Amino acid sequence: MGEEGRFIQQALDGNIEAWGEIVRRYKGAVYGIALGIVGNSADAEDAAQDAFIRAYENLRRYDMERKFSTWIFTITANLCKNMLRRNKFQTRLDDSVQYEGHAEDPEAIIARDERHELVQDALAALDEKYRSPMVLRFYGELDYLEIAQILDLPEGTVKTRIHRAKEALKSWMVERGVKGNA
Amino acid sequence: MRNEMRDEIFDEEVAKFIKDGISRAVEIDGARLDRIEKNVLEHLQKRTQRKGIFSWLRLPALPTLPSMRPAWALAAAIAIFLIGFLSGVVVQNTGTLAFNTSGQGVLFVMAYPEAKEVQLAGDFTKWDPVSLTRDSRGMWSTKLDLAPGRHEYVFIVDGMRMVVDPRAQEYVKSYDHLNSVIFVS
Repeated sequence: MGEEGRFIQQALDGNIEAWGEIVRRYKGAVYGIALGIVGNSADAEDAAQDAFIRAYENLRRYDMERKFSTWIFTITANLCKNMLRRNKFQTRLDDSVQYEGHAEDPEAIIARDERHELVQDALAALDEKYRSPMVLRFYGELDYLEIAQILDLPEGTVKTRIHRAKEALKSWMVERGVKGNA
Repeated sequence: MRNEMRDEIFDEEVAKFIKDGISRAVEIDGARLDRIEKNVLEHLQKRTQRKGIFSWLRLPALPTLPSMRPAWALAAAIAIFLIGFLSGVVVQNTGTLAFNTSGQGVLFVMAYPEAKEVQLAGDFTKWDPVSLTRDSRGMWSTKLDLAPGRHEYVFIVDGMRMVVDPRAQEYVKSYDHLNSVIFVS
């Protein structure tokens, strides 16, 4: 059993400090995935926090033979999905809020030169069903099979969605003059 | 022209764009990451303090309950409430009661003629279950001295089921079940 496995075993025995070590190791990845999917820092923080609490509470369901990252990312992705659904519902309820789509001046976008903000804008342009696989693939660096397990989708569907999302993002990047290696 | 530019952006660039962008955002949000760690550990510490009832109930299954979508969780909460409420209404005078008897303590009453045992656990018992006494009609009761203020509690039927008080003043979600709330003046 590796070091991570030992921390998980200790957490199963009720050692919260051991769970703290797991949180320290995964908080960046979990927060990053949540941020990529939900699109704003406050909700991503809530989702990440909730993911670690739920993971601890459900730790007995974790199969030690499988990768822990896959398991914690599954919990994170599901929480984010629920959060988006809830936010969408709340937005619909709030008639006073009006959103207007307008094209931003490409030069103004480049002038911001904030890669992290650009990514959030780019991902926000995608539907959630494309966004989650993209974030897991390119930020989480997971393979198609792992993503399929996390999102509970056939592997072929994951591949198709990533392919389509990549094409959409390429168009988005060209329209705004963004280069990936800039 | 646009298509040519588009083709120049290879898959690797999209990958790098996402990886770098999110990594940078995570880096900037370092304070949030620290807060996540702090809040998670604080929450779990508090939970451990309240663990008395869970360990007593020997419910290792509790942490393994499947997580529910919010809509289902709400539906489940309403169902639990309705079951408790109806049991109090359908059987005359056998609903759950908890009221302050003006300085003489708070009387908790629970109707469960078919139960073999009914207990009460709350913050005022440090979440250790206290047995209720059964009368000939199957009414279970106990009187406790409670400090003024807000208190959370649950009834436990036959050591297995946690039951809400349909006449409680409030309900709060606590992990995967509902606690009843009473305000003592």
